[in-house]
Amino acid sequence: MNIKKFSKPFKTILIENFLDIKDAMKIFSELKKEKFELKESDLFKFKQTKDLQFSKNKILRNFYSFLEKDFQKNAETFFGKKLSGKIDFAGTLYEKTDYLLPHDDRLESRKIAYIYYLSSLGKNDGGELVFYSSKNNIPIKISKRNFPKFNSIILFEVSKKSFHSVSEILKNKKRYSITGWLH
Amino acid sequence: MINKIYLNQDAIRGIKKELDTKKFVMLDEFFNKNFYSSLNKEISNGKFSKREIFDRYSFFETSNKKFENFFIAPQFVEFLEEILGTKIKTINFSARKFQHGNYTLLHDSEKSDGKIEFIFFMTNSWDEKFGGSVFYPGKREPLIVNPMKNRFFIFKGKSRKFVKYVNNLAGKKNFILIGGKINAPR
Repeated sequence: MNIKKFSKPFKTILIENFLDIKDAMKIFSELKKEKFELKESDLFKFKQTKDLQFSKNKILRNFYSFLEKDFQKNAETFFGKKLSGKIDFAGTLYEKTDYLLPHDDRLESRKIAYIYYLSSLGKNDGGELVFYSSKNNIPIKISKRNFPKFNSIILFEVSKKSFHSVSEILKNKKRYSITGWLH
Repeated sequence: MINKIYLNQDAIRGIKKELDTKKFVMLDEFFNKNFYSSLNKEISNGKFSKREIFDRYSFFETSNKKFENFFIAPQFVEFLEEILGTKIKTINFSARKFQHGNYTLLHDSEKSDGKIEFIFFMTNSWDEKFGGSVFYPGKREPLIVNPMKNRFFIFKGKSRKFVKYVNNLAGKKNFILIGGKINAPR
């Protein structure tokens, strides 16, 4: 496990080799069996599963339990935020021309956003997570780019400053992840 | 300037009726070829500068206002007044270019100003799979207007709109969206 912490442009933690590789492969294999539906708005175009905490799939439910019990405590400590225990937990798939445009994620009780990557993408593939620095709560500049790496998880605090996007997938590649928010 | 198929009284009555019932009307091959060509030349010669606020919009806009003269010509204004059944006070114009990576987003702070508006598209070739369509979200289905050469669209509804992200399938292609907000009593 390799942990990197950032405070700019907003508090973020990136953990590489998050799970045992065999467990990650199992989760990936099971996630691909789930049904992904196209989601589209002014802000995004991608495919998503329903909330997987209620999935019939035991491996996916076990991963949810791990996040809910053990991992959430560590997130509370790192971010210094008291969490309610509620976690959104869905599979997301970006394919060629899919994207998520810049936004701050603030909605309802979201406190920490997370993305657990189950694909690796390179610089020319697109699909990177882009962070923006902001001034007066307006995103002004691209500050960081995080390229998806299999079995890594990235978490960041949701705030007026947490502007981010997922750049368009440019190649015939699939970007799988499990994403959601800790509330 | 306007394609003569839209200028006879039967056509105008038909357009007015459609606008009154559906709140929008889309007229393709709107200007005659010579006029479109002159307008295209005027617009294309103008310099476009990038306008971008990441969480709201990204496009190119021209500050060359000469194109507005084409849209305040008496024939165009009279045509609008006939199909709208009202006198026009003023029209506020914009000319924006969209290419790969450009978009506009709906924003919480932005509300429909309730004005009648029109859109005119200029492009050499565009495919809806490139994105760039103008969406007016509705209660059930959105109203979608795809960019097409010489397409004129007029909207009397109150919905806000967005331009869908233009993806990399567009390559180096682009389209110009001329927008007009009409100040007129409803």
